[in-house]
Order: sequence, then C-alpha cells, then structure tokens
Amino acid sequence: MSAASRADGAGAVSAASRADGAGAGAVLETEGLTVRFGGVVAVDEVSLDCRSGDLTGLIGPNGAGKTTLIDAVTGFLPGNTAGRVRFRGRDLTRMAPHRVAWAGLTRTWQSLELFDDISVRSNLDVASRRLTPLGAVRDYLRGSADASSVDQVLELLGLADVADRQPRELSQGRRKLVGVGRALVAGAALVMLDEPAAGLDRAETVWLGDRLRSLVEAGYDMLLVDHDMSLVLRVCDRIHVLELGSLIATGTPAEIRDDPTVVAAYLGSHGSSR
Amino acid sequence: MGPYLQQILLSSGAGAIFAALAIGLVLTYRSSGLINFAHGAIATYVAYTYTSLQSSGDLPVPPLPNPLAPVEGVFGVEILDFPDFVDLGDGWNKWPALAGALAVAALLGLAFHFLVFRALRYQPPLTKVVASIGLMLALQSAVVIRFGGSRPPPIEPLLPPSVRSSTVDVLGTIVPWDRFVLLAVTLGLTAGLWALFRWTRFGLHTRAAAENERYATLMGISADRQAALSWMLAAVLAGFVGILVAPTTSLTPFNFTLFIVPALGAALLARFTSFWVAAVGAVGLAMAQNVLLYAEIDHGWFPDLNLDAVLPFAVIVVAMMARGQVLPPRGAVETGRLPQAFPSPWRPSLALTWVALAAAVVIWGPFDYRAGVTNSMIGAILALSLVVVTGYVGQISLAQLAFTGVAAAGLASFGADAGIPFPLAPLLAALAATAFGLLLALPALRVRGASLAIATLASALAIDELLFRGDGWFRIEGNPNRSFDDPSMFGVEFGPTSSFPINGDEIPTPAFGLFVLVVLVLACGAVIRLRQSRLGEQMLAVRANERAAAAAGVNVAGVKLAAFGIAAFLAGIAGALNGYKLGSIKIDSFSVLANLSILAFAYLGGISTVTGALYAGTLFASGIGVVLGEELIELGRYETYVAGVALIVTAVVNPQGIDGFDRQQRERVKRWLRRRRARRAARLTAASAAAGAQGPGP
Amino acid sequence: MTPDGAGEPGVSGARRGGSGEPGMTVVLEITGLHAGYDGVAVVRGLDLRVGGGEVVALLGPNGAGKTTTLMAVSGMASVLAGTVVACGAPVGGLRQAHLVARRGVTHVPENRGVLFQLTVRENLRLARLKGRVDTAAATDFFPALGPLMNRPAGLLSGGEQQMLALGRAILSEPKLLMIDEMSLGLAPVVYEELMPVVRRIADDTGAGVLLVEQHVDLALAVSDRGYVLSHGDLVMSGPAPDLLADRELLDASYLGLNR
Repeated sequence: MSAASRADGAGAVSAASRADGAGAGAVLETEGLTVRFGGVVAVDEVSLDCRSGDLTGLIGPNGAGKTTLIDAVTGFLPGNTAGRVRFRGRDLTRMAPHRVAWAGLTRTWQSLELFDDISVRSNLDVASRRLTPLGAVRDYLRGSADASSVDQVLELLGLADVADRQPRELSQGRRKLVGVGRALVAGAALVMLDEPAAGLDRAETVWLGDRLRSLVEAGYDMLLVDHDMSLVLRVCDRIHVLELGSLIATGTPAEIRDDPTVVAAYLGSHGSSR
Repeated sequence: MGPYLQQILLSSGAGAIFAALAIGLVLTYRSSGLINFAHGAIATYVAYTYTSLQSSGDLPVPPLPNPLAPVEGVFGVEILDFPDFVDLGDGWNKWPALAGALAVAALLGLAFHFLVFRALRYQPPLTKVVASIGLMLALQSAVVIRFGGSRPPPIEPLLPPSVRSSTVDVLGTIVPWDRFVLLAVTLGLTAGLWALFRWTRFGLHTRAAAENERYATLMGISADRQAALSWMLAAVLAGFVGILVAPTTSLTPFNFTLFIVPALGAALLARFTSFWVAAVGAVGLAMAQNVLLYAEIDHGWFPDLNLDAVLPFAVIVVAMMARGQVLPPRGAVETGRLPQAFPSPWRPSLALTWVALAAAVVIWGPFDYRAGVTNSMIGAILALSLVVVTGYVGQISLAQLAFTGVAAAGLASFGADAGIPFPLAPLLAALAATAFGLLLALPALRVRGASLAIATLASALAIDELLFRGDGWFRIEGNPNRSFDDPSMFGVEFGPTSSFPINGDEIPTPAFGLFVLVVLVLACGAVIRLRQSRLGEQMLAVRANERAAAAAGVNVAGVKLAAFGIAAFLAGIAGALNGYKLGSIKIDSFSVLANLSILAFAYLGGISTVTGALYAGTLFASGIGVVLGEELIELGRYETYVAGVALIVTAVVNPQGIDGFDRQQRERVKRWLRRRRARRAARLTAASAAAGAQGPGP
Repeated sequence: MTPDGAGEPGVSGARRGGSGEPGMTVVLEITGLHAGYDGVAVVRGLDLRVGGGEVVALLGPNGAGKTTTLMAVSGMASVLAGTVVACGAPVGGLRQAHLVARRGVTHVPENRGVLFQLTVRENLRLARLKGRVDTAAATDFFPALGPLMNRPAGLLSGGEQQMLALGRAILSEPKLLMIDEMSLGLAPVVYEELMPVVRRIADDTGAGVLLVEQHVDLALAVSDRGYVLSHGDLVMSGPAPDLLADRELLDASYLGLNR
C-alpha cells in the first residue's frame, strides 16, 4: 500500500542527491547492512554513506533502527549483523569494537556512558591512544608525555576549565561534550553521535548544534543521529532517513524538509487515519 | 560393576544435602538476585538452635552490641545485659524444637532482608557478595561463640529410629534406608518449590519481579515484599535441611559452608533458575564424585589427583565457559557505584613517617607487635593485588589466595629444590603465580559480577586440590619438610632467623621485617604508579563501562588479562614472603572460608585505594590490627563476629571501606577548619571595618 | 535547569486549562512538574490534567520528556519540583512506586511491559493482585489472544504483545491508563487497528487515558485534548480538533521547523 509510494519517493530523492555528489569521498559506506534479533529485523538492507567534509544526519522516528545501525557498524552486534561495512577503504565488517575505534570510527551514546569516576581529562586520555602491551610498559616506566591532542580537543570543546573535574559534576550539556570529546581524541576520522541533544533544553540544543558545526569546520567528519528535526535540518549537509529499519530517503536538508514521505514517517501518515 | 553401583547408591545421602542447599541458593537468587554465600551458615545456625532447644530448652541469642558499655564501664554497673541464652524450660520434644528453630530461621531471614539486603538491592554485585560473606562470617562465629567450635553436639535426628537403623538390599548392595529417605525428602522439597513458583500467586509475582522488577512494580507488585517473603522461605528451608541432615554429616560450625561449593556448582548448572536441574545436578555430582573417589582407590593406574574433590569446580568452570553469561540478568537497575578509586598523591613526609614507624616497631617492638606488623605488611601486599583486579578493574576475584599458594610452592621448587639464588627464585615463583592468574582471567573474559566470583573461587579450590594434595604437582601432603633457605643478597641475610644487631636473637628477627617493609614500599609505589599510568586509566575505564571503553579503543580483554596477571604477581610476591616467613609450605589455610575472607577484609579496608590495602593488611588473620584488638579491648573470640558485622555495615552504609570513611572524616575536619577560618576572617574584617568606620569619626 | 518555562505564551494561543466537562473526576493532576533522572530535569514546569473517561494525548518528538512524565507519574522518575497527584494521592519515590499502581494507575511502558518468560495467561493474571482474573474481558477486546493463552509472551509478535499489554491493562480496571508509544516498532496496519481500542476503553470503563504518541494524527483522532512537549517544555495544548486545525503550528512545533 503506502510502502510502494514511499519507496518511490525515496528513490527519487536519493537518485537526485547521488547525481550531485557522485559518491566521491565516501568515508563510510554500508552495503545491505541487516541486523536481526531473533525474528525481528531491526535494520533491513540499509546501504548508506557518509562523505568526508560533511556533517551527515541520520533521522527517523523512534524505533526506526538508528541506534541499532550505529551498534552494528561499530562492532557491538557481531552475531546479529549481515552485510558489509567499508570505512576509508577498509572492510570493518564484524570487527571488534576497539579495533573499529583504532581504524578511526568512533561513537557516542544517547545515555552518555561516560567513565564517571575519573576526571574529564582522563576520560579523553583513555581514548587518545591505542595501547599495545609494549606501549603500556613503556608508558608505565616513563610516564605519559604527549597530551597535546587531548588538550587541543578540550580547548576546542570549551572543556579546558573543567578538565580535572569528574563528569558527574558537570551540566548535562557539557557531559554530552565530554562524550563527543572522547570520540574525537581517538584519532577519529568519523564520529557517530547518537542523540546528543536528547534531554537538553532548547537553548542548550542550539548551543550544541553550533559546537558540532564548528567541529566540522575544524575538519572532523560526523554522523549525527537525532530526533530533533530542527537541529538536524539546521546543521547537517546531507541527511538519511530511516523508518522501520529501512532507508526511505536521502537528500539535503531542503529536500528532506519537503519530502512528504519523511513528514508522514514522523507524524504518522496524514491521510490514513482521517 | 558391583562396587560402582554401591558407590552410586551410597552417594545419595551427600547428593541429597548438595541438592537441598542448591535449591535454596536458586530460591534466593530468583527472588532477590543474590548469590547467598551465607546459605550454609544459616543452616548451621538453625541446626544449632534446634539442638539447643531440644537438649536444654535454651534459645541462643546472637551476640549483640551493648551501646551502654562505656557508661557501665565508668560507673562499674551493669544496666543492660543481653543474655547468651534465653531459658525456655527443659529440653523440648523434637517436633516443637523443630518448629521453634524454624521460627527463628524465619525471623532471621526477615531481619537479613530488612537490615541488610533491602538496602543493597540497587548496589553492584561486589557489594552484595561482600555483604553475604560478612553474614556468613558473623553467623558462623556466632555459633562458635555460643556453642564452642570443637565438639559437635549430639543432635536428635528427625527420622525415627526404625528408619535410621534399617538397611535395604539393592542388587546385592546393602544401603542404609535413611539415605533414600533423605533423597526423597529433598526431591519432595524441590517439587514443592517448583509447584510454588509454577502455580501460586507468590511464585508468579516472584517470577515477574525476577524478569523485570520495573514492569512488576508497574503492575503493583512490591518487589520488596516478595524478597522479604522469599528470604524467610529460604532461611526456613536452609534451617530444615540443616536439622534434617546434621545427624548424617555430624554438626560442626563449618560443614555446611563447605557443602556450599558443590551446591553452587549444581545451581550454576541450573543457571540459578530451575529447581529440578539444580537438584538432579547436585545428586549427579555427588554420584560422580563417589565413583571417581573409588576409581582412585581401586585402580593403580588411575592418578590420585583428588579428581573427586576437583569435580565440582570443574563443573562450575566448564558451565561458565560453555554458557557465557551464566546467570540470567535481572531487570533491576543498578544505581549504586563501586568505591571510588582515589589516586594516591605521593606525600613523602606522610609516607616516611609511616615507614619509620613500621621500621621502629619491627626493630624494637615486643614479639606480638613485631610479628603482627610483619604479617600485616605481607597481607597488605595481598590486598594490593585485589586493589588492582577488583578495585581498579571491577573484577571480583576469590582466587588470590591460590596464587600465594602457587608462589610458595614455586619457591620450594625453584629455591629449595633447584637451588636458584634469592632474588630470582621468588621472582620466578611470582611469575608462576602470574601464569595461573592469566589462566584464571579466561573466565573473566566471558562472565562478570557474581558469576565471576564463583568461577574464581572454583578455580582457586581446583588449583588447591590439583596441585597441593594427593599426587599433585607439589605433593605437599606427606612431604611437609620442604624448607627454604633464608633470602640473602650480597652476603647479607634477611630471613626470619638472620642475625641483626638489635633483637637479633628473637625469631622473626628485625632483618626479615625490614625486608618485608622494603618489598611493601616497592609494591605500593608500583600500584600508585599503575593508577597514574595509561594502563591504570584504561582499567578504571573498563570498570566504569566496558562497552564505552571498547568504543574508545580500549582492548577490554587485554586490560582484564593484564590486571589478573599483575594481581597474581603481587599475590605471588606475598606468597613467597609468607613462604620465607614460615620456612616451609603449609596449606591448611587455603580453604573456601579463607578465600572468601581475603576479599571481604580487602573490601573492609577500602578495595580501590592503596591506603585501603594498608588498612586491610592490619585486619587479616594475625595482623597488627588483630593483635591490638586482642590486647587493648580483649576482642578474643568475638574477633570474627565483629569482622563479619563490620563487613555488613560497611557494605550497607559505607562502601568506601575504612579508607573512604577516613577520607570523609578528614574532609569534614578540613571543611570545618575552613569555615572557622572564614568566620574568624569575617569577624576580623568586620571588626576592622567597624574600627575604620569609627576611626575617622572623632 | 530553568525553573520557568511552563508553556510558552507566544507559541500556543489555544492553551486552555482543565478537563472538558465540569464535575468530571480528575484522575491525574500535574502541577509545575520538573522531573528527570540523577537530578537532571528532562521535563520542566509541566501542568497537565486528565479526567475520567477522557483521552488525552501527550505529543512531541522523542527526547521531549513524554516518557519521563509518565515515569514520574508511576513513581519511577524523580520529581524534582512540582506535584503529581494520581488517583487522589500524591506520588512518592521509587520505594512506593508499587502503591501508585495499586491505587488504579496502569502504565503500559514503551517496551510494553510484557514479561517474556511468562505465558500469556500468566501475564494476564498479573493484572490483579487479589482475587481471580477473568481473562474473558481481555479476549473480548482482543479475540486474537484467545488461542495464544499458553504461549510464552516472548514468542508473540510485536502486535500480539501490544494486544497482551492492552488486554492486561483492561483487566486491571484502571482509573488512569497511561500508554507509552503504542505504535513503536509496529506496522501501520497493526497500530491503526489498536488506536480506536484506546477510545473504547475510555468510553466503556470511564478510565482516564494519557496517551503518549509520535503519530500525531492517529493520536489526536481518538483524543479529546492534547499537549505538545518539545525539549521538556510545553509548547501547545488544547482540544484535539483545535490542535489539528492549527496544522501549520502543530507541524512546526513538532518538527521544530520554524526554529
């Protein structure tokens, strides 16, 4: 029924966007990514990409499978995932999470998942360097020397003044930034942000959006998952839309704003109930 | 085939006991998410209560603190006097005595819930494990205090004499009737519990709360009330089993706690979920044990490796490895935190003061104090190993004592047998312990929380049985005379008998104490350094959140392995020092109880800080804290009891342990001083302002 | 934490307090609610009222604080400021959460609150703490549940689980029924069928229903009144027809397109 029209709409939009972007400079590509939990298909044959230099948006109503998609890409669902993930020319499919991070693909969580009992700086330090057994011994004997990348990110995110406090002492907005910072310092080529605006009030959301935008200008590629359409439409360069596990549209903010299938997915189809 | 059949039939008694304890463990876990190490101790306490009521009509009262003691002491009067026993007439008949004892059990269960485990519902597994260990210690020592530990009291069997004395002939094997009766009763209890959970509203609500406490609460179910009822039920069940089987096993304060290990194995097989699997598994385990035991005796070619004793542990470890996260997760939220891992700032003046004090005591102190401080320092190194693995990485290890054993035995092999010189031999011994530590870390890669506690406990006991007993690697039994030479370097000896200018004729001489002090300082420095290093940071990250750590590029498995390895090395050092102290290996201290106590005391001291480990060292058996307790306040036989209660209180009220409490008080004093200073400054400025205002006036 | 922010005067012209008819029993009264977790407010300054027999929609994009509001009513989220009076008594903390349910508040949470290890019949038996549960009332509303009685709930499809959750809610004879994201993860065919049932429950049993939904049109079609939250603040409220009529504003406040 309505599925057919949706698919058509999606096809039109993504074809249009593909024409202008020509798929060049894709940092991350998924091919037919599928996640199954028992009989439930949470992500269904999704093929999408993130381009370098872009802030890419991933939106969709609650339960559309956005977080599941991030989990699958970052290696947290090895047993449930099918399809392929390519990142900067490497195949990351079913790689362990810490190896995915080493490859330069990091993420944040909606529920933050910070390391609550160590300082903000340590939160970032942990992620800042890959620790080999030998490296650990060398670091233990000589002490940590290079903290410049961590300082840089702290400065960039405006966290320098609270670097020695514990995350739980900070405001919700700044805690979100600690999560972002942790994802950034891992030498990330692409950061996937899961619902960074959830639980923030409107002013904080606008502020967060500006921060994200300035990070993109600073050269970080990002994928932003959020329910807040206004945030996503305002700051993203390109947007993918998921519904019930499938990709239903891809396009620029303007295209997405005017796409009836997207509005329908969000508000429930306008026509069907009346 | 005959003798094997006989072994299988004879094992039904032991099987019944394991099974009865196992279903109790399953009951407690299903209703309150707790692995109750104290289950056996409850059985013991209630069985003693029954005996006391039955033989003399006396109801034992657990030792209670007397809040008026200082007042009484000053005025030399006795205002409050809790009786040891309440006299309830002459000896009771066995059935009223049974009813009375079970009523006590129900009350105990209720008290445990409301005073202890209710407050711990949302705490992390470590806190719960520690609290249940504290409860176990307190109950067991209460029995020892009230009834004495040595002679088992006569206990009036519940089964009539006709059952007890008759035997039955099964295919030519004579088996006492009562074994079958025990087995039948146990299976009856299992069926009862099963039916209770399957058919009643209580069971339905408990199952709902176990699957998802939040959802159950939304349906109006009080998870609290369910847990309270289940605690009563579990305590009554434990008590009944204790009374029923005590005549068969003979009643001692420690028996049932030892049976807890095979019962845990069976409960794990049942994933702490199915009563039937737990019961049948326990019976099967007992049968297999008996068969193995017989094979070891009967066949010369069959290695005497105590395989029967190792079997429960093997079952536990295999069940863990095969099934991954064994325990079904409960829908409860954990909101509590692990104790905070404060970095220890290096304060040279403070450190030097303590080192000087320890050195002074070790050189000039009287014998008790010297020995106490030396033991405490060795204990502190052992506690440091737990700071690394449990405090920093959050992995509950009940195996540290096994590593000390491996190192002590390694010292015998490398030092005494192979003649490797001093600094190398103990280091090799500690490395041997490290190898075992890495081996034991393997379960930690798959399971966490209370499951890991059980896995490590089982592995520790398996190491003990395999290596130190029977034909095991070190063959200590029957070969106790493997002594070590005193350690020496550059011609200077520093063992317990080495000469020393002051007090050189006493054993242990100050030389050894100073040697241990040096090692302790090195170990503390190493752990402080670890906390500040990148690896230490990653450890804390893993403890805080494994998923997030992995996403931040932390190799979680690698960090866990490193932690277990480092911890085993430290424990190995402690073991080697202990070996030098004793001059030979002794193994009687490696047991379930000792393994549990080590973790408990480390927690009491403060499990996540170096300072906490130093406190813990004073608390360990024959440490300086114990010596002081003995001499200053005559703690004597109350020592373990007080320790158990202190553990429970710590877990409930102050998870940071003594170190955290100490920090809190210091903070409070500092804040008070700061406020006072501020007030005084304010007063001064006010005064000067007033003076200034007045000044220009006239 | 902004203490004010109860409704933004400029956004909603249609904000009318109170339930429709006078004399209607009020089953839920929320005043000046700040609620959240770990001391962080997710909902700020919410006023909301539900009367008996009334269906009230609580709308807004995810992260707006709808679920937190429901959690605060059932005692699962902490109330940082303001009051929640449900079925005649104020709501206490987590330890008293089960008492809220016993007063007649039934909360169907986002993941439906179905216990997977219990059978359908056992799930339904949880509806009442005392007395026998007559499952007929549930199968009247959802005949499809009839043949599934002895199946573990974990094996049901999403739609069947939602029916079970609603069926159980009906059996518990609530005075206040709160349903969180009924349509979550369900195909349109399924939830379009379930939505009218919510209206029937309110009409037949006189229960007040607080419906949290993302699908605005579906929800407002069965509701008497609606509230729209965005980022923890109330941005619109009023009778359902008025909200639907002001389509532009609704879409805008919902999707935040005008900001």
